[in-house]
Amino acid sequence: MRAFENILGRESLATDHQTCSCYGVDDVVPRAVLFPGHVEQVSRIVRAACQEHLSIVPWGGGTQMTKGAVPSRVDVVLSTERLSRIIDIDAGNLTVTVQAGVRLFDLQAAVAGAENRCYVPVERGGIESDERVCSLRENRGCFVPLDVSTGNRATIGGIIAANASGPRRLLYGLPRDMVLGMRHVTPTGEIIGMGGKTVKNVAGYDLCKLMIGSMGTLGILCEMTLRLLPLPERSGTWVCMFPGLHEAAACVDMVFASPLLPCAVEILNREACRNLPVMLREKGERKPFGLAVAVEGAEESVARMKRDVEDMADIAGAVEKSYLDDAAHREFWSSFGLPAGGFSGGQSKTVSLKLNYPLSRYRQVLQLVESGGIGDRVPMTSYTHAGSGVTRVHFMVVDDAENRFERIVDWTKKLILQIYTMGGNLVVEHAAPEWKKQLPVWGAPRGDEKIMHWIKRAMDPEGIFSPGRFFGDI
Amino acid sequence: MDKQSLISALQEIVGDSWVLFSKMDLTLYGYDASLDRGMPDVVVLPGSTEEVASVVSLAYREEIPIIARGSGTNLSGGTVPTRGGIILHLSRMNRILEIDIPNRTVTVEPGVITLDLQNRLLEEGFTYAPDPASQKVSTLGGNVGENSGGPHCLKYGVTTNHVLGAEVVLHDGSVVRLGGKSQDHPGYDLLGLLVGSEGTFGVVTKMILRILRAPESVKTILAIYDAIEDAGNTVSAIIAEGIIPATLEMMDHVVMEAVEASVQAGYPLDAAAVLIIELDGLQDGMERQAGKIVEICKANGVREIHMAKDDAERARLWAGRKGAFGAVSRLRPSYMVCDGTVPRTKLPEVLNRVLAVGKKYNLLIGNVFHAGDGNLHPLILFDERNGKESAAAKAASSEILKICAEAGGTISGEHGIGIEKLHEMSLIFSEADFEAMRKVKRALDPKDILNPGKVIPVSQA
Repeated sequence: MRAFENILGRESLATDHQTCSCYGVDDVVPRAVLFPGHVEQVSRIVRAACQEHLSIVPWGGGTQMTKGAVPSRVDVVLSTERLSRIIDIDAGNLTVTVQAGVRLFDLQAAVAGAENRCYVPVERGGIESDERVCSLRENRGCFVPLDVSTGNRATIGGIIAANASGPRRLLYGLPRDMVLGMRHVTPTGEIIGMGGKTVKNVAGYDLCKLMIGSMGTLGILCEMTLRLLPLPERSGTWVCMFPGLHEAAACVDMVFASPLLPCAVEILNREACRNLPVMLREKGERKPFGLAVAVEGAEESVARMKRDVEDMADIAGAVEKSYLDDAAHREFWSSFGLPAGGFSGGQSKTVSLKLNYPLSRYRQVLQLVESGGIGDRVPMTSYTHAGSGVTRVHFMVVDDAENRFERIVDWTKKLILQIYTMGGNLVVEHAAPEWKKQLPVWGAPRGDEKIMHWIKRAMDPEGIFSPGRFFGDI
Repeated sequence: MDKQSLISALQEIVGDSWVLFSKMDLTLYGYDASLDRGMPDVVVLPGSTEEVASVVSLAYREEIPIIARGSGTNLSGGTVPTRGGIILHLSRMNRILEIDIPNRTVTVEPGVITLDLQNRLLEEGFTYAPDPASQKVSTLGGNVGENSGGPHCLKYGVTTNHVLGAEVVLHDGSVVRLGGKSQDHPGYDLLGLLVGSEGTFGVVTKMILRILRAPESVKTILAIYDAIEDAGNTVSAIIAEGIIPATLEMMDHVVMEAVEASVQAGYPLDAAAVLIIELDGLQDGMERQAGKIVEICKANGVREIHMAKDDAERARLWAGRKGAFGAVSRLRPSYMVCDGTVPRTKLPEVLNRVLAVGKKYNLLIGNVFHAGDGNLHPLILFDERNGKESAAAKAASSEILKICAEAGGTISGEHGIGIEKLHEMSLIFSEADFEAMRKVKRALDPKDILNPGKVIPVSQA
């Protein structure tokens, strides 16, 4: 610890129990929390840790820290809190370069420029006017097409390291499609730069791809260059209620059979609908399903999509519809997809699963999820990114008197086989540490696991970066 | 293993007729679309994943270099056998195995010609977005190896953004599946690492690619300029305005002259440069966006603007662009193409500096490139048989890449490093960066048999 103090000074290091216990990873509490202020410090910390054989877990906003298996050891947590500089907003080139600790909402506010319609509902805190922004442009504001529901706390580094995504990936893609360049610190303390500010780059191996989603097991992400997109002129969301899955799916299929380009098409089960800021009446005896279709873009195309989606919803048999315009649309999606009541409040414990599968199977997957009988015993919310082949399921276990957790484990194990047979997989994104030990956190093993071990061994032979958290005990 | 036993062993695996070793065959497989030359020991044309696996496993046992290739259209010497060894030509594995519209995927073998897939998909109303200019000849396996781009990559991304899964033969001959029809998979993004690794990590024997619904509406604009700077400024201004067209291509008068002589695409011969700007997507709002682009063109000194009236005219404009590299051979016997890419705001400045390099070395340089991506392709024209001119061309190419690196860009946007650009790698990477790449290479190919000597320079240590 003395070595870290020499690098950081006393004020950027915490060893007291109170601080350390706030940075426990699945209840494994570190001996110190480090707050480096620049990349060189990160490199020196890693070199020191290497010498002492101490394990390091990077930490951004903490929103993704429940992902992954329980780590085998956590000696120090490296917080990116002070790596919070926006280095370069190049709106003319449509790129932005930031340090890992910048929070997504802060970045959205900064790149919205002088525009009074930031991509997310936050106070505009950004640049008033900037010569780097093209003077020609009427709508100079931009946004970063990353989509997480915890963007007020989530950092860019954390989002990229966890490869987090949300409903709007349908139109804008995944973090892997947006990261153009990166500087990271390797497990031996080298500072490595890959990619850059160009939107195309095939010089050398694409190690950025290896870092995205590597959960802090291969490198500590320090700086990233991301694509920007111009703020959409208009945006809107239809939220509709259908008497059952059959009708909701009919609408989804119509949307995808059309030339329309929605940015999100989300199917919600009844619990998820009750969690919405929009009140929707339920009709009939059957289990109702909600559908949210979001559109963003040029004024004319948004108007067309608004019209067409409404027609489709009517034909499919929507019992109620509500259209959210611009500001309401932004509000709606900024905190979308959370489990009812948030994560692990009070006595309750949440188990969150992410299912992925070939996208045409969404109906079958939803039938499996909804008809297992488990939803009757344990409150369950499900959100399905139709068109991306992803379903997120959250269980709320308020008390465990009836062995509800056991049921969830059995059910998950059965489900994983079914999903795997379809060509998909299942990941546990949130669960109490004691439960994680019984759950297949990273899903069913795959044939390429051996390659991951080869890479991990080559890059981190001492195994000091986030040991045990990743796929295959990496 | 001596050469005769190697040939017999390979014949055993794939059959006599699929092993080539005559002097002529070996010479023909000794080069690609770059200027480099080599000579393999033997050429094998496998017909299945099992055969590929057996060949690779033989190469692993005997420590023989193995270079997988498709049509050899790559422009950086990536498939040139510099250390002899086995050329694995995958052209026989050219089946489209499945078109899965409900899941928006196709499954193909690596030898499928890019344009063949695109034409087949159009019949279903779908597209595969990456469209390298060599698509008439290039294979999808080659596209994956090189992470190919193309005009439409401006809006839709390059090959890596469209590959969902692959079946890969690893260095030791074992077969693994990466990714699949679903979009997310737990674990490291090995596919992302594989795409663009120029055959140095494994041999792809099957690919699952993402397909998109063909756009409802397309509009193609030809903007004609009297000064190349004006065209460059227009490109920067369009991007800065926040418009990302489907394509934003530039061509200068040197290239237009050659193209007109070859395909009569209807380009004006007295202009300094043209832009081909294409919009696609929903028809709603497209008129207004086209109007905005016209305004920007006018603000930047455009001479004339033409909108393609029909599909035939659009096809003619594109035929000229896609045939450009071939057409310039009318001007001089050889060309060297730099693939330098810069931030889009730097385009006008870098274009000027490229022109200055041509003057300095007294070389004719033609420009035809993906301007919207900042991806330049200066074609340095010369005669390979003239030693002095060849040396000047090489020096000019190196200088242009240096200019791109200085402008905050990179030395290759889509053509790859191969062997031709190895020397320039140190313009953008440090020794520590190289060492990180070498670690990955060693992990995936410990005996260094998969396309050895490509992509990363040899260690200085």
